[in-house]
Amino acid sequence: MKKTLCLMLIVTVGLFSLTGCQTAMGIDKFYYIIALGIDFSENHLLKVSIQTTDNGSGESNGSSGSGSSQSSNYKIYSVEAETIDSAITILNNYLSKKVNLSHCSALVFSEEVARSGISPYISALNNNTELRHSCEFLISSGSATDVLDMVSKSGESFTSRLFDYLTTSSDYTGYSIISTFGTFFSSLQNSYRQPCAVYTEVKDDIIQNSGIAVFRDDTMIGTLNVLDSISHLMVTNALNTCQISIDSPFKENEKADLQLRLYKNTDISFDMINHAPYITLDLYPEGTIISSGESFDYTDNNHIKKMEQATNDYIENIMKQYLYRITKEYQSDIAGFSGKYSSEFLTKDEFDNTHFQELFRESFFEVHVHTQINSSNLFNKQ
Amino acid sequence: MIKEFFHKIFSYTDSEKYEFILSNTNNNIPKEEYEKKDTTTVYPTLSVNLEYIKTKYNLLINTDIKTREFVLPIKSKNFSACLLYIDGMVSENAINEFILQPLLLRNSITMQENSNTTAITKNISVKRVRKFNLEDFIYNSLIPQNSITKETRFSQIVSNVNSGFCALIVDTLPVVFCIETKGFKGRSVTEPITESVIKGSHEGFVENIRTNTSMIRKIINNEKLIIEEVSVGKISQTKVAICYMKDITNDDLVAEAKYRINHLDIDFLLSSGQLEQFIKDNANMAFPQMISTERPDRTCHYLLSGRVAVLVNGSPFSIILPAVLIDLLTSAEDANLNYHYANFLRFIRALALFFALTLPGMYIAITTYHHELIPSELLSAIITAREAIPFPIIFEILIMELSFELIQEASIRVSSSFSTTVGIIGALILGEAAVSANIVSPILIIIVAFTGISGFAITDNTLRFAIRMFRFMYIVLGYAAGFLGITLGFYIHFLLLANTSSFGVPYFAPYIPFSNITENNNFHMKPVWKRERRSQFLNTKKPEMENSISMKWRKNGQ
Amino acid sequence: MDNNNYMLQKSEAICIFLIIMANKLILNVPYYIISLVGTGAIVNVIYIGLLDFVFVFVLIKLFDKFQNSDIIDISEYLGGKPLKWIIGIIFIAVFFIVAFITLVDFTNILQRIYFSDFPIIYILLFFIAAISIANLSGLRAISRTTSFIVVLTLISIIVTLFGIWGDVTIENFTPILGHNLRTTFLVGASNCFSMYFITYIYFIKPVLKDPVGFKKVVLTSYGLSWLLLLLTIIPIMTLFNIDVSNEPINALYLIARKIELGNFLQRVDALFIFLWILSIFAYLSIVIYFINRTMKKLINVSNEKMLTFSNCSILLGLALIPINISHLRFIENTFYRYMILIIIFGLGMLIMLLANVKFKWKGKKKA
Repeated sequence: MKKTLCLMLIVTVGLFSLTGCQTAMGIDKFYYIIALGIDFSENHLLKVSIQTTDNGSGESNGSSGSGSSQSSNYKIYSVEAETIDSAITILNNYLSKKVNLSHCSALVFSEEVARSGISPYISALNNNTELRHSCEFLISSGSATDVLDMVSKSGESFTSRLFDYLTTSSDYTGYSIISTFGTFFSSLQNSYRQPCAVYTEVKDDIIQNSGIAVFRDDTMIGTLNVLDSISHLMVTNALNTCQISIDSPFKENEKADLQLRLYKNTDISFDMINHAPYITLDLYPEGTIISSGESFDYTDNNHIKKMEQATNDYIENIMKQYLYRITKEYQSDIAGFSGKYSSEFLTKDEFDNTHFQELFRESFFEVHVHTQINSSNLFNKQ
Repeated sequence: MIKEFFHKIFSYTDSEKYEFILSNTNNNIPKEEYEKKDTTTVYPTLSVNLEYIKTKYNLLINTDIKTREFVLPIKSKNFSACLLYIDGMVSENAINEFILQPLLLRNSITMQENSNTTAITKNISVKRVRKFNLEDFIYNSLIPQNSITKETRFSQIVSNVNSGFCALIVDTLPVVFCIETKGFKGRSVTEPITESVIKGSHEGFVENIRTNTSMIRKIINNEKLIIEEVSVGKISQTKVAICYMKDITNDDLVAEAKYRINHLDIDFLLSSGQLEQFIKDNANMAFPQMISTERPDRTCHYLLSGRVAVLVNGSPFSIILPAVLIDLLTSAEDANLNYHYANFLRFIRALALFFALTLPGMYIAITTYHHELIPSELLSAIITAREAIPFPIIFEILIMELSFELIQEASIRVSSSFSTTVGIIGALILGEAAVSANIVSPILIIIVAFTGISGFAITDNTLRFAIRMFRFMYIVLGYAAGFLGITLGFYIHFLLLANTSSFGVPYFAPYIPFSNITENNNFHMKPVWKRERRSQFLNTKKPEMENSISMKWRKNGQ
Repeated sequence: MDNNNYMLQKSEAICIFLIIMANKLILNVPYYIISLVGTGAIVNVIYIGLLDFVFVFVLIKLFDKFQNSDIIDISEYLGGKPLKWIIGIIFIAVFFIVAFITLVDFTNILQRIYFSDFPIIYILLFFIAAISIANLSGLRAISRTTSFIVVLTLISIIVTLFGIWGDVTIENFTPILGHNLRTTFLVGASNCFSMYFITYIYFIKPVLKDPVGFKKVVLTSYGLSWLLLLLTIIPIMTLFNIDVSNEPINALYLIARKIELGNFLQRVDALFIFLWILSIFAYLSIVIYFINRTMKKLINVSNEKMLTFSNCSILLGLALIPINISHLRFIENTFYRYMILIIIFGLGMLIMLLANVKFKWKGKKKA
C-alpha cells in the first residue's frame, strides 16, 4: 500500500512538473463561437465570419438578465483567408484567445460558395474534432455574414436557439428540411443519395426559410420552393406535419386549409422499362380540415370524398412538379431513390449493373395519392 | 540511498497477506429442528434442571446469564435452590431484597418446626399434622412480590427469563417460580445522535456494556442469542461482548471474530472505533469494513440476519461484521418504510455517494478538458460568472473545498453554543463574501454546496470521512487529465475495493462476484413479504427468513 | 485460499471474455469487417459466427482430455521443453502485439481529441499505471473489477445502438449480400479474426475454479460476444456509407459523437470515452496478466506479480516507438488479421490436434 501510494506520488509529481499539463486550457482561454459563416470575398478568398458572445464587455455583473440590451452582446468578426482553418488561426491571433468550435450551433454557407463546390470546406470541418454533428447547416441566398448579423440583432438572448428554430420550424410547416452538418455530410458521402440543405433568405431584416438547396455531388445546383419541400418530406417519410391550402371543390374562389401528416410510409416501387426507371409512388396522407369555407359538411360522406379527391389532385400535382424538378431540371437524387432501389438486389454488383444512377434523369413517375380526411377541427359543419 | 529507495518502490515483494474466506459449505440446520417445539417440563431434581438450562442457554459461553445457587433452609431441612436471571435486565435490588433476603434469612416462619397447629383439649394435645407443601409455602409465605407465576414448561420459563424475569428453581419441586424483577441501571437510554430516524425506535446504546447487552436481549428475546464476553487489553482489561445468534450465524464467522479479538496483544482498548481498526481485514483500506451503529434495533436486525455484533464497554457503538458496500448505504429507517420509499431513498443515497466523491473532480475535468459536454447556454453562464475571477478553476475549487472542510471540522469540534456562529461565518463570510469579492464564482459555490449536501446524505459516518478525503484525489486527477484521470482513479479505487473483503465476504457482494443475486438482500429492497432468505454471502445456518407465504391471512379464505 | 492462486468463477471468466471482445469492438474491428465486405456485413457476421462456432466447438472437444492445462502445458506434453518455449514465446508476442495495438490506437485517439497539447507519454503513463496497479493487486481484483466494468461497457455499446436507431434505414443494409458472393463468403471468411477472444480459450482452463464448466463458459461467452459484434455492426453500418472509404479514426467514437440525449445533453461522447477508458484499462490488465502467467510458466518464478513491472515497461517501450498512423492501420487491419488467423486458428489448433493424437496413441500403447 505504501509502495502504491509512493508510486502514485512519484508519477503525479513527475507528470505535473515534467509534462506541463498545468498549462491545460481551461474554459477561460477559449473563445466559443456560436455560428460560422462562409462567403467569398471580393479578392476571391474565403471570408470566414464568426459570431460570438461578447463576454469581455459584460460590465454589469450581478444584475444580469434584463434582456433589453441583449442584442449588443453578440459580435461578429470576419477575416479573409485561403482556407477555413487558416482563417481560424488568423482569428486566434486577432482575438488572442483560442477559437473553439465545440459550441458552434450553425454553419452558414453563402449560395456562391455552395455553387462553387462545397466539398473541401466540408471535409475540413468534418475533420475538426470540436465541431458537433448536430450543428445546423444553412445555405443563405445572400452573404452568410448578413445572416449572422441579422441573427445577432434579433434580440434573442441565446442566438443558438434561433438557429435551432430556423430548421426545426419545418416540423410544423413542412417548408424546409432539418439539415444538420452530420446529415449533410453523410449524404455527401453517400452514393445512394444526393445532399440537400436548408435554403434561407434574408429579406427586409427577417431571415426565413425558403425551401431546399439542392446539390449534385458537392455543388449546389438550384433550389426547391416550399411546396416542393413538402413533397420532398413526403417522399422521404420525414413529414411531421404541414399545412396546405387547396381550392375548395364546393365553391369557386374559396380555399380549404388542411393539416397533413402521413399515416403510412410512402411506398415506392421500381420497374425498368426500356432502360428507363419507372417509379411508382403511393402516398398516404391523412388530413384534418382547418378551414373549409362555408359549404363543407363533415358528416356528409360525399363531401369527404370530394375533399379527398381534391387533396389527391393537389398533392399529385405538387409531387409531379417536384419529381420533374429533381429528375429533369436538377438531375439530383436527393430523395434517395437509388438507395431504395438497391435494396431490391441481393448484391451490390447486380445493382451496379443496372446503372440506375446514370439513368435516374430518364426516369418517369406515377403518383397515387390516397388521402384520408379524418376530421374537421372543432365543428363538423361550418 | 536513492538506489535503495527505488528498489523499495519498484521491486516486487511478496506481501504476506492474511486471508480468510467465508466458506461456502452447506451448514444449514434442518428446518424441522427450528419448528420443533420445546415441550420439556421441569424435572423434580435441581441438578437435572440446571443441566438442561446450561445447555439451553449455553451458559459456558454466554456471560450475561447468571445462576445463583444457594441453600434454602426451611423447617430444618435444607433445599438446594437456584436463581436464574439475565444480568443487566433485572434489578439487583429487587433480587437481593425481595427474593434472596426472605429466602435466606432465618426468620420466624422458616424456623418454625413443622408448622403444626397444636390444639390442647382436655390435656391431650392433639397434633394436627397438616401436610406440608413446599410449593405453596414458598408461593404464599416466602416471596414478597406481586408478580409471580408458577411455570412447568421450560419454553415458558426461558421466555420469561429473556424478558427480565428471575426464575427460582428449587430442588424437589417440579415447578419453577418466575418472579418479575425487571429493572435497568446505568445512564438512562437516550436517542441516538448520529443515526436519527423518523419512523423507528429512538433508543441508543449507552456506555455500559451490560445495559447494551440487555437492550439487545430485550429486543431479540430468544435464548439462542449468545453474548460472549472477553477481556481485551493487558492493562485495561476492557470487556468486549461478542453477540450472535447460535442457530443462524455461520460458525466460521463467529470463530474468526473471536479469534481476531482474542489475539490482540495490546495494553488497552478504549473504544469500539479502536477495536474496529484492530480487527479489519485490510488495514490500509480507507473505506469502512464494518458497520458501526449506536442503534440497538439496527444491531438486532443484523444479528437476526446472521451477522456478528461486537460491543465494547465504554463505547455506545456496536460493530457489525461483516459489512459490504451496500450496507453502508442503507439506513436504519429502510426496514421500517414501505419498500417503495426505501428503494427511492437508497437510490438517492447512491447518487449522493457518486456526487460527493466526484462532482468537484468532474467539474474541473469538464471545464478544463471536455467543455463540449456542457450545454452551450450553461457554458456562457459559467464564463460570464467567471469573468472577474483572477484564479484558475483548480485554485478556486481547492479554496472552496478546503474552507468547506474547515467549517465542517470546526462545527463538530466547537461546543454547540458556538456552532451557530460557525455556521454564520461559514455561510455568510465564505459563501457570500467570497463571491462578491470575486474570489470564487457563484457556480462553484453551487458545486461545493451540492457536494457537501450529498456528503451529508451518506448514512455511514466512516464512509463519509473516506469520501471527503478521496474527493481531493479526484480533484487532482480531474485536473491532471480530465476524464482519463478520473477513470484512473475509479479503476484503482475499484481494484482496491475488489480486493478487499470484510471477514471473508467480498466487499462488492452480492454483485461481485456474481452469486445468485436473487437469494440475497440486494441494494434494491424487495417488498417485506418477499424477503424470504438471508443473504447468501453470509452463508448462514438458516437461509430462510420467512415462509414463502408469509402473509398467511391472505390464504385463509381459500 | 491464497490470493496468488485465485481461481475464476464462471461468471468472472465470461466477463473477462466479454471485455476482451468489447475492446475489439470499441477499437476499429467492426469497421474493418465492414470495409471488407460492405453491406454484406450482417450476413458475413452471421457466417463467421458459424465458422468460429465450429472452431470453438472443436477446440472445446480437444481440450476434453487435458484437465487443468493450457496451451503451454499441452505443448510441453507434446514436444517437451523446446516446443513449450517456442509456443510460449509466440503467444507472448501475440499478446504484446495486441496490447500494443490497443494501447497505441486508443492513446492516439485520446491525444487527438482531448489532449492535443500533451506529449503521448503523459497519456500512456496513465494507462501503464492502471495496468501495473491492477496486476500487482492480482487476478482476484482484476476479475472482479472487470465484471463490473463489462456491464458499463455493454451498456455504452447498447446506448450507441439506441442513439443511432433513428437514423437506421434499410438502404444502409442493402444489398444484403454485399458486393458479391465472393467477397462476402470467401474473402470475408478472414473476418473470423474479429472473434479474437478465442486466443484466451487456450489459456483460461487452468484459471477456472471449476474446469468442468469450461464448455459452458466458452460457449456462453462465445454467444454473447457474437451478439455484441452484431449489435455494433448495425450502428456503424448506419453511420458510415460503405462505398466511400473515409476511414474514421474510431468508428464507435464518431457514432458516440452523434448521440444526443435531448437538447440539453449534447456531445455525450466524453462520457463514452470515460467508459471505454475503463474497459481498455481492464482489458490491458488482463492481457498483461496472461503475459505474466505465460512467462511464469516458462521461467519458473514463484509469483507472476513480480513480472508486472518489467512487462509493463516493455509495453510502454513498445508504445513509445514513433509510429505513423497508416502503419498502425496496416498492422491493425492486415498484419493483425492474418497473425490471428495463422497463430490462433492455425498453430493453436495444430498443437491441440497433435496433442490429442499423442494422447490417444499413448492410451493405445498402454492398453
